[in-house]
Amino acid sequence: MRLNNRNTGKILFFLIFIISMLPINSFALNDQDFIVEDLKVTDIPEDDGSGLMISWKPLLKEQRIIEYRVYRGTTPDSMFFVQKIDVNVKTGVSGDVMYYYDKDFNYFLTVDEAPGKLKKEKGQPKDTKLYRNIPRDLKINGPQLKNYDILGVIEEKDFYYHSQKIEVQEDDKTNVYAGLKLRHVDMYKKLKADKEYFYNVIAVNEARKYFLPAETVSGFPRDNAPEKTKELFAVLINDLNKLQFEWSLPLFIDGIQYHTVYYFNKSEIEDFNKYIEELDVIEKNNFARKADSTIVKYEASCKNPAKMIFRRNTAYPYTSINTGSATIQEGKIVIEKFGIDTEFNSENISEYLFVFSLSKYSGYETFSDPIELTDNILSSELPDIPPFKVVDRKNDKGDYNNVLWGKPVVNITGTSFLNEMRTKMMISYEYNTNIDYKVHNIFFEIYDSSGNMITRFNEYYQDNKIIVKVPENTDFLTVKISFKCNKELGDDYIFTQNLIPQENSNTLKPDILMLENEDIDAFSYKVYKRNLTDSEFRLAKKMAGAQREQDDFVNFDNKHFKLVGKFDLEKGSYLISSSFLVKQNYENESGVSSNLFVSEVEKTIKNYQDEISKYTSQKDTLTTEEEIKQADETIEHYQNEINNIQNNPILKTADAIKSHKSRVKYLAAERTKAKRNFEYKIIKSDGKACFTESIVYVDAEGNDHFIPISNWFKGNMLPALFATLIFGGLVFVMVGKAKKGHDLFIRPIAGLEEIDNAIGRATEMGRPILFVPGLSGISDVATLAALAILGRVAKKAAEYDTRILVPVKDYIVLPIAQEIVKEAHYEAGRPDTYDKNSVFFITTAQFAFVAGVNGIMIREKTATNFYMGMFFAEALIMAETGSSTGAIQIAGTDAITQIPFFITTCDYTLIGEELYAASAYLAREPLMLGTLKAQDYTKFLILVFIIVGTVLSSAHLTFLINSFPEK
Amino acid sequence: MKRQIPLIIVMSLGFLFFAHTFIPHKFSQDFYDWYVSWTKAMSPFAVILGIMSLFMVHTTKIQRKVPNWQYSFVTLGALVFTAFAGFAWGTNEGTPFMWLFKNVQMPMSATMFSLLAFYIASAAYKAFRARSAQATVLLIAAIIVMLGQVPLGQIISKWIPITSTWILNVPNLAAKRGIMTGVGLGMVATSLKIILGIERTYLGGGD
Repeated sequence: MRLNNRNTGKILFFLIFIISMLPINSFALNDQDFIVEDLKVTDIPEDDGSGLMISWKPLLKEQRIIEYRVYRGTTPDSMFFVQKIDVNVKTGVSGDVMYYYDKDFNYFLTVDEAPGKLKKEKGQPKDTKLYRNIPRDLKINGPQLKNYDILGVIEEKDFYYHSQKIEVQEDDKTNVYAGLKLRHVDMYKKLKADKEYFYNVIAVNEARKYFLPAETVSGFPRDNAPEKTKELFAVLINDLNKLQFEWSLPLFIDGIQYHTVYYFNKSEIEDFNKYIEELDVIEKNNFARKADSTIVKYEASCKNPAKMIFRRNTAYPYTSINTGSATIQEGKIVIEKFGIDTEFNSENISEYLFVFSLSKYSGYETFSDPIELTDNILSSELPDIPPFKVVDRKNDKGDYNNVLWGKPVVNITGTSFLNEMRTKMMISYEYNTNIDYKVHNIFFEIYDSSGNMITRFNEYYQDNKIIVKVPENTDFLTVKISFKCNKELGDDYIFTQNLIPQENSNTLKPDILMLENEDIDAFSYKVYKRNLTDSEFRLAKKMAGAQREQDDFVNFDNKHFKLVGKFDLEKGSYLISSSFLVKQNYENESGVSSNLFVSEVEKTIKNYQDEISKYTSQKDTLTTEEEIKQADETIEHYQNEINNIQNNPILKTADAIKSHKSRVKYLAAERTKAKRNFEYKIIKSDGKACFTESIVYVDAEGNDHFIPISNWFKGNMLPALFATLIFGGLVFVMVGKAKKGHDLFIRPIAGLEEIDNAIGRATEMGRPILFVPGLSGISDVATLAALAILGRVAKKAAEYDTRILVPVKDYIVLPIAQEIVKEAHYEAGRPDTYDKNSVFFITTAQFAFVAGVNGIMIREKTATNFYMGMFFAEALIMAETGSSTGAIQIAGTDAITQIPFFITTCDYTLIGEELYAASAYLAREPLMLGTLKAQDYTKFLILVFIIVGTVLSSAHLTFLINSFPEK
Repeated sequence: MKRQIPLIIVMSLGFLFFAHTFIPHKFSQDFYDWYVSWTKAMSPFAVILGIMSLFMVHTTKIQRKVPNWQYSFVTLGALVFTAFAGFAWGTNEGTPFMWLFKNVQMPMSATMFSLLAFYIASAAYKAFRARSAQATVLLIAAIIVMLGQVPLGQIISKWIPITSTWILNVPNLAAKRGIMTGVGLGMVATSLKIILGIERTYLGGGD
């Protein structure tokens, strides 16, 4: 379309039409209709007192709301933006109520996201109480710290090397803190229990109009009793006089301190129920008293008849072990750590009920429903736990330990008949093994329903499927599966799986997988781990019964998590505790902690000594034995702490280091070592308390903790390295030969032979040449190859004084292409003909780029089009347009999906590797030709390997195939 | 020096990243991550170059009043207005920028993409004309594969889907893998030529 006044008018009319379509009609809306209704705040039940649920009635779909924005504050006068909840404007909200859960640690303040200054929310009246995010300004965010539990997440190097020593006078004492700037601390908040929080919500429509807030509402998060455990199983191992328990874990684990198991007599069930009811009354009374201080405290009158027989600390914040056991000795269960000393008569076990409880640091305890003994078994009925071991995973960065157990397992996953006669069956299988067992062959023996062997199949190359012939209309088969491995597995290591009829299907369904008498899938393996800073084991992963290994991730990144409650306005710092845990001391069940500042270590020792002196002097005045005992225990505790600081080898070594930086560096290294040093154990369980727990793994050298090692070479990449070196060597040899003048024959490539003619044609016709260097970036090797060809083509075009147009999609490619074309003109001795605007950027949008290129082809009537590099779906659109303009077209790409399109529409196409050979082919220089020849010889070598590999595999010799990595 | 310094940078980093492929050590991985974070910083500067190029091309067209120079106003106007909309109201859902993206750019891109269906038909016609023995083989193979993908093929003969699968899985896959092997080697060769300084076209010029 030629642009004249009339057409220009049309375009202007079109633009006015587009602008008029903008959703400006929203200005005429009645704001009152867009205020959210029924805004409520309620406490989230069964949590740790850090959660509130905000709910409101969503606006109508017709009101085209795109998001709701939630604001929170500790006073109704100022509320900060917390979270937006997106709404699909076309579908609206399906329910009658919308919810936002303000719980757990979530964003409070980070240097990346917080605005610099306090800003009022958009579209609100001048006296609005709504503000955008809490700003970085310490004067504003500092006072907010006390309103929440703030968790600071600090990078190791920032904590160790950017902390400033800040002294604060508190209660006649000078306390020392580590001061950090906001750029060093990411802060996440949790609501404080029993504190009042105010909320408001506004709606935003699709024109991004911010509507007015609703009436502000408030609520108190309450620390509730934990949720009730849904499942508990109790099993008596009769010959061992041992009770085993297994329970389900709760959804909310915050604040839970203990997992406990109790028992009581069935006759005491009423007392127990009354006790449970009373716990509920106490909880409600607590809440009522918090809301109204005039309400009288409820005095507990019931006593728990249940007696404790098992207790363990949780592994919070990680997933805890959910099994436990208690040994009955001389009619008693004794666990000294928790003061358990309970009479238990296993003869009367049928008269007992068991109950599990979750108890919180705050004192709340919730009991499960009482259960009778689930099973009474012998130890021989417990699952056998296979030997397991822990090794460093090879060829990695050093962030994985490999936990492996047992021998390989194979199971059939599905079957399908391949013909109507049902005589040809494909059996899909999968097998699991570990680095200890390398599977060479899997043998499938197939039997009919009468027990007659139908066929035996040797799967020497494991591709997860076999095809076997079976009798016509087979509806039942038994498959016995065995292995040949690098290690002897034993003659009786045979899996059996029946293939049974499947309803509504004409295939056979794999039944349960049996190894001798064990149903493999009936049990699962749970891998537990504990590092040198953990006090309890935590779940690493739960694995199905057929799994044989687990790669356990061991992070390098050891951030510090610190509570942030104070700030120093003068120094612009947030204050955190300067002490940190280096590792656990399992002997005296305490942590080995140190401080960033040596003076604080000395001060701590002095404080402990003062405490000892105080208690020693007080002892003379104490009268009761219990008081004296308590004082002695306290003195002993402080003395242990002093000994810990003074005698612990790590702390001793650290304190001997004079330089602050070196001391901290040493402690940081010890902490990292402790954090990455894990011990492991496995529990094999049926999920119903019938389980076997391994001891902690100890290797042949006596090591029980394992730290992954960072490797310097990927062993599995050796064939790739070897092949690259061979190729590199061949390049050197061939380049040398070419330099010496040997004639290196290169197969003629028609597309490249025709380049000169194509440029000549454009010159004769007096029309420009179009060169598209692909659509990918400079990091793509195809683009580099295309640019190399561009250099040759541009030089030739400059020699012939023909215009070359190079539209570019990637802006990083642009200056390189400009430089190449410019240099080509200089080389051709025609710098005057170089036009910088002939190499130009169009857009990064794929189809907009194509539209641009097509327009150029049609308007400029290009005589020759080159498409070199990486192309995608747009390839055909470009090439067809070029074809319709009558241009001669040469394409070259390594995009397999686009090659057919170029072949059909272009005159010449460089297929795959020819694109990479083009530069050398056109240059005809020895160095270039050498690499091309080396490429040919390498291809020959690959061909040899393919043929030899095929022949060997056909003869069941798979060593060559297996010597190459899979990826 | 204009060439030597970039060459030294390319060669040394080329060898370093070649080594990185085989070294999983934390030191090597950290160095790679650190380097990649620096490359991200280059992008914004390159965007400026791209926009400058676009401005130069179109302002030249307007100044010289080349045929259809009025279109350049539309291009520059769209560029400026879209950028302004993004800076002024942000790029969130519901902003003018997003409105333009959804109601102008996306339909236009979809229009271009939909042209592909017609071009495929045209290309198929060209490819499947049985002008030679090879083209006839191609035509037959294409008919079998197309029929094999639809229920009609199964109705005509049970062998059509089987043959279709065989064509795709054996000769087609073999050819694909052959091309991919060549492409892989070509990539290694080009990389090697660049690392060793044999191929210097990317620096501007042929040598």
